Amino acid sequence: MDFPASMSMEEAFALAEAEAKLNAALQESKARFEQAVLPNRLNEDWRFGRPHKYATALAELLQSDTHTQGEANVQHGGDAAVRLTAEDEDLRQTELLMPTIGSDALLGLHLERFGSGYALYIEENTAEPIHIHYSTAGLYTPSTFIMVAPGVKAEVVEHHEGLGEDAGMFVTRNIQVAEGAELKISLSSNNMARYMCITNIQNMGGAVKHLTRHEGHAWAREETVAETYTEGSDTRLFSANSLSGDNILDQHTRQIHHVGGATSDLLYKNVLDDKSTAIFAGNIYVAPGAHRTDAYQSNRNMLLSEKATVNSLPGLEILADKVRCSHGSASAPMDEEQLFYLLSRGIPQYEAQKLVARGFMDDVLARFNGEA
Amino acid sequence: MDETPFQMDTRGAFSFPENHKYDAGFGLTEETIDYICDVKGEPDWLRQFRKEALRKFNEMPMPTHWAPAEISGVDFESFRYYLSHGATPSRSWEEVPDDMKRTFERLGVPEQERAFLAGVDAQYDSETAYTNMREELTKKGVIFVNSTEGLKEYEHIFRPWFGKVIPVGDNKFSALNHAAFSGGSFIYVPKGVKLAQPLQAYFRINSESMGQFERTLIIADEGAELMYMEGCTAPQYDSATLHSGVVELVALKGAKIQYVTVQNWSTNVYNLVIQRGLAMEDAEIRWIDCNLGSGLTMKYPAVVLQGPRAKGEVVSISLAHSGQLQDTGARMIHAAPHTTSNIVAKSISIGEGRASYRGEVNVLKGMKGCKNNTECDALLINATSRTDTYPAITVNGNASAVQHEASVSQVDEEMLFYMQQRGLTRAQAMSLAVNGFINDLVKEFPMEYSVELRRLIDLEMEDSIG
Amino acid sequence: MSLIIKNLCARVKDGADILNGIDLEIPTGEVHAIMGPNGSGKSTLSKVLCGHPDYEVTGGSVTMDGQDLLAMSVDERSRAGLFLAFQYPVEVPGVSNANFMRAAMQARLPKGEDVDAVAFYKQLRGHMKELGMDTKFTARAVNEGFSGGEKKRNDILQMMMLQPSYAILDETDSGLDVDALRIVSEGVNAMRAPFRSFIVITHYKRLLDYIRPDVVHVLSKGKIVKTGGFELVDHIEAHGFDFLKNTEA
Repeated sequence: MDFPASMSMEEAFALAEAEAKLNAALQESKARFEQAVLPNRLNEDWRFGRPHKYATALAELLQSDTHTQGEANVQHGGDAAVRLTAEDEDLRQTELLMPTIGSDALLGLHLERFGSGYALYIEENTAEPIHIHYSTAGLYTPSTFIMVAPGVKAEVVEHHEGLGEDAGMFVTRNIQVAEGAELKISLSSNNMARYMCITNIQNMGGAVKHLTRHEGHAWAREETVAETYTEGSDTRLFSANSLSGDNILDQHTRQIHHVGGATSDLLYKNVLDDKSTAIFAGNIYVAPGAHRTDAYQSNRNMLLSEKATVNSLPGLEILADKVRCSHGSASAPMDEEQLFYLLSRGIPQYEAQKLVARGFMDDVLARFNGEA
Repeated sequence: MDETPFQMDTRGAFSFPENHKYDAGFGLTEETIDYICDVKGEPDWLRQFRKEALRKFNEMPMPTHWAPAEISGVDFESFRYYLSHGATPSRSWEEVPDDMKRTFERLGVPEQERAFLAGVDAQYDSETAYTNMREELTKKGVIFVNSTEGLKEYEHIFRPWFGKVIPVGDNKFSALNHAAFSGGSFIYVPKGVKLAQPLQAYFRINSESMGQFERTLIIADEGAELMYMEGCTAPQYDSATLHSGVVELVALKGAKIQYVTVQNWSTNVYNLVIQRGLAMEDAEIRWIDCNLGSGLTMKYPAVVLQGPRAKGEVVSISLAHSGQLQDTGARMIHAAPHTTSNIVAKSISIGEGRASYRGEVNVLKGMKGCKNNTECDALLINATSRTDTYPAITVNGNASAVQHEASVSQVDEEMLFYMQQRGLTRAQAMSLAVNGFINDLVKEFPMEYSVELRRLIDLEMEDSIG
Repeated sequence: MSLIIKNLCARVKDGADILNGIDLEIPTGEVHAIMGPNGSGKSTLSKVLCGHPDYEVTGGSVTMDGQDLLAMSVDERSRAGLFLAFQYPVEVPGVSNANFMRAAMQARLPKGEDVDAVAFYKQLRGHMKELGMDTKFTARAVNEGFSGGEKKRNDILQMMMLQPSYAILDETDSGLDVDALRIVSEGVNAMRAPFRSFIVITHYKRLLDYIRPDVVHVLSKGKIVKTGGFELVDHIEAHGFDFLKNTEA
């Protein structure tokens, strides 16, 4: 390893140590992919997720058709946006190290197709939200990297779009937010036969608001791991989804508090119609010594049809002291009283239901937008 | 010293030298099963049934979705699967062998029987040493015997329900119990008979490396009502002991069953128990469960709500100190419309103790008007304590409502200061705070148990803080 | 016999200094009022005297009837005769008022002796009647779901039961309506005795009209800046704490 002449001994040692750590982590990570098996029924993280059907099918597609098929565009990116290439070794390593929730083997397959998508190095406040847009009619596997520099305020809007009956997308997203930075990021995805999105948020003392909205996918799986590395970090995760037809939405979240004195909050809401199915498996992990953590998690589901199904697994693992943690899960039909109130004002049944369901979801958007 | 009738902590920490006539040795094989069947004089169908269960047990993997990783520490070869003095229980304490009698006397069992119980079943290692019930209940047609006797004398009632609530292949431990079961109670309460006083079982493990596999079946016929209580103790040994019981409850139309457990095994015991009740139309099943002892407990009392308007409830308290994992919870399966269930679980983790709540609420397809409410609250006493919550909720359809809330908290420092300012020591203040935390649940236990529970918690607090 | 505070300095643990050399002597049998503007350190003084873990003493001494108060734990101070009626009494869920009081009284008895249950309940009910409290409060959890005024009364009830030698009333008047203020004050006055002292911390004259102090102190920025008689109370009522600015100059 070469060190610049200007570097002090201490700095050189620190750099060497950091490099050694990274190498060890990379080794470990490689071992992880070698050991990884495709999701199966015994995998706790795929409970209710029917891995034999969906994970296996996705894996087969990834292996049989290794061509990138999709479009990546960016708007208002300015200097911050850089198109990703297969030669981007640093970012490949970031993806190599990212955690999954039971999908290491699938991530391994994604890595083999690494090299499309966008990286955003945001070093100045964004005047307008930066838009990232991925679309496909085939099978597309882009990666998104977002780094927000200390003290910078940024807003990003990401859109993943399916363009045909058989469209499929498998996206990985790595988001790093530095001390004092603020990031507001929304992701909407729609209309795919299969959609999978693995996100890792690393909060180093900033404020992050993250919203996902998935609509019109036959099958969609979201894995979001939000890690807190620095005291004072504030991470807020939101999701609002309307499911209909045979839609299956399988969402997994982890709020990991490595250090104390930080906050995380999660609100995931679904409205389910027809024969749709929602799975929410969330977990708050407060590591030993991460004292004075505040972490909350709430999953709310509104069931509109007798054929709709909800599986909710809100988990907590608390290994520290002076922690304030709670979770709640509620799954219920539309509130009759609310509906009655609207009907009594002359609004027809169908419209009234739509309004109530919309109010249920709008609450999430209002919170994401800081209006509630 | 003996003001309270129940002394289940320090009083359980003794043992008598082994004096068994029958010992099947270590490990579970077809020969072990033959040995058990021979001693018990069991019919051929049961021998075949046990062997079939053994095959299933050997084939099945350890549970994964529904278990903590610590369960992999169980070594099935290291236990002794049958130890007894003989398979016929005594009807009077005079006939009970001396060391067994002295054991149960020290645990206060005969005293309680005289004071407030309708009947007692006292198990010592693999077999029941004593079963008796008040005369008037026999006249009303109530049956209260051990499982061996139940299968022999009342096969026509026992067999149709045997293994129906918890099938052999339900999981590995269910298969294990079906293969090796011995002891436990068989209870039948006829139509409309309501027991004013509780029936009690007492499970005692005396010998080292013991595996205790009691099997309990309780049937409450239409409109019948009963309360059953069980207590458990064992002396501390260096080697592990396995307790893997199966309890099946059947509450027929309009019947009510309350099942109370106060588990205070020593910490070398693996307590892996399956408890499940079937509640038919308008029936009600309540599990009132308190886990204080054992090294690893896995126990999730379940109610299958099989008939319309059936009700299920689990009230659960667990306390985990250093070296203990209390993996407890509840399961509610809504298999009929307009069924309701309620789960209230509170846990306390002390020192390096770990308490986990694991639960399942499932509203099956096509159900209407089902309701569940679940509340889990965890209290962490020290910085090294751990708590987890792992609920799994499934709701089908738009005509049922399920709600789950969980919280984790510590004892508030301001509250401790307030109490100390009134002159209580920190340990006393902590003890009061912890008792206050579970107070609403302790009230659900019969008086005699709740007094003892509070005393045990006081002792626990003094040890960990005082 | 007296409570003697000498040059007491204290701060929030790892934080700002709050008490900057308090000197006070409260002889037994007297009632002392401590007044002062917000943030002057009144409540901190009461918490430090009782040993609240959020504060650390950085200098000075406190003796209570010759005993070194600062060397004692929170509960030892209480058992030695020090009582604090809290500005915000704390809720203790699940623990009934009666059980709590009984435990506190039990803690004062020598080993082997038990609180006489009959006498205890008689005494408890008697004091509750004096304070106009419904007897159903015995079975309710300590302060849980009580109104502000009910909590204050409950603290005074505890004082009556525990019969301390030195009682600190920390803004006991806040949150009390006129009737409750009168009842609580009557309860306190009934306890005035040659062998008992009170430190009454308050913003307002209205409490001191009921509980007439022998000596009045004014606390500012963590120090006693003025000591006098009741005329000081009248002065503050009329002119506020503005005069402090002159004394500092």
